[in-house]
Amino acid sequence: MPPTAKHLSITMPSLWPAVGALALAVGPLLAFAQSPQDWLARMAEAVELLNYEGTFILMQEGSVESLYIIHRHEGGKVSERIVSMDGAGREIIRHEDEVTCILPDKRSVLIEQRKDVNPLLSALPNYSDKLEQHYAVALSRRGRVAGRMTQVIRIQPRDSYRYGYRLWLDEATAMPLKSQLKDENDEIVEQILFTSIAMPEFIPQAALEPTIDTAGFTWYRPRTNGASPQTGAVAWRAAQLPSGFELSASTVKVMAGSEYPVQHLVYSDGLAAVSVFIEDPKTDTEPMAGFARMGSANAFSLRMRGQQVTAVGEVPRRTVESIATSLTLTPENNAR
Amino acid sequence: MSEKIQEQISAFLDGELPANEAELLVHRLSRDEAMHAKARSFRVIGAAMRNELLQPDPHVLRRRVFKALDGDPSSERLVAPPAWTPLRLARPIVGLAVAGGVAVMAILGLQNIAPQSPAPTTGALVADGGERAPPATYVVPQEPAAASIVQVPIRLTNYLVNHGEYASGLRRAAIHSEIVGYQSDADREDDATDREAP
Repeated sequence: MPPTAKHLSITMPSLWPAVGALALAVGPLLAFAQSPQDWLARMAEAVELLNYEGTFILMQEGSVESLYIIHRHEGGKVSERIVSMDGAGREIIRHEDEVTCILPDKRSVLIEQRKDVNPLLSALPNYSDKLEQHYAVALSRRGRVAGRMTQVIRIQPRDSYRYGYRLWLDEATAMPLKSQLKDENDEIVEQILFTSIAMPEFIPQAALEPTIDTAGFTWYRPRTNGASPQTGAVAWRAAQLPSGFELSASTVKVMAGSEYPVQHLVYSDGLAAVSVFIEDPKTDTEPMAGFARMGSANAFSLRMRGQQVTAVGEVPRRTVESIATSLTLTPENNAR
Repeated sequence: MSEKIQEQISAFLDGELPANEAELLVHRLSRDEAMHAKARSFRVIGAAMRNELLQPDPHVLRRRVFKALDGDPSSERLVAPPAWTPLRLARPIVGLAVAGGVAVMAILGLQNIAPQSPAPTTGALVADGGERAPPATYVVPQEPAAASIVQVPIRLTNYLVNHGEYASGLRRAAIHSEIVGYQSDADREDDATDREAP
């Protein structure tokens, strides 16, 4: 692993007097670049468009896992591989049209086709005034992470239906080198911290290939090529949503391990997202009901009109519960 | 944006633009957001080509600032106060703008490593329809077994994978990390045993 960009942190202090003295000369430029919205927009681009690889620590629920990430953006296509360096030894590999999740502890491989890539882009946070109706976004102090100087951004929810964030963004690239997800009590739900990161110009394909021998594993993949058109005169929609949440995507797909289409709704407030999955319960061997938690994500399941409904998202329990329980069948023409 | 302006930005970031032109360019950069964005993308490409992102040299920025100031990259000049003469007085006025531009670029730049790549909102990730040859290690999927109806934990994982695809880039990576980093049942049992141990 190459050394991190220490030169930035070493050199920058010597430049601060010059920067201060020159504030008048380049004031508009400085102001443009220093707004928290600009930082967040740069972060969203950096996370997707930069090449990077590094080791980071994931802390949640008292557990600590070290992981390795390789992210490549080449020719407009994004590939990513995340590997657990301890624990269950899981891997997840994402190419532009497919996500492969290798679960050695379950001796399983999940493959999901990604037929429609655009919704991902449309779901990128839109840092508008609208977002600030539900979050207070502010610049905080500067700090050092993995040997690099960072700008800290605080994103505090204005109600208890969403989590807050604290982000340490690399001053040079806006890459988030550290992030905290905070609940309504300001307790840290999840913390991610890069211990080393490099941004190579080129990442070979070999670096994105899995290393786990999956012989004997059960493979779950969609039986058909992913999405099928939504049909029928009615559609499932949430009748009541926490303030700011809107429907941002609606698809019907045959998911890995299912024989029947699953409706997938995504509700987002521009930053947080909640997915609702509605499927025929006969595709499950056992019903799901009540709350479940996976990492920082909460899930709430119930049976409704003979369908298995599950809402999942990195939001408080009350949010997934309120969205799931408000689902109703709506005439297609009104389903917005 | 004209080719000449782009060349000026490139030369400026390489510290090769004459001071009088640099001053004008900094003024334009402060007013023109498109030019500013272009300058930032040039900056990151240049840094990547010079391998500064990977193997940073602590003196790179210092050298460039001083080169822009008076063509002398020696680090001694950083601590040596300039002679207080009218000529030396005039030089920093130009140099200030140049140094400011370089410093601000260094602080704020490095946004986009591929200038030809569209911004996310313009469809950077749209697949081109080409077929990707998957790695051999996972292109030989076994047919799902007759009893391959997924169990609840797998179903939740599946939901989370699909959910992650609609999250922002930052959260998607975090969600995927959660899936990958999720403790196995064996780990959890070990933890529970440890907690119960005296």
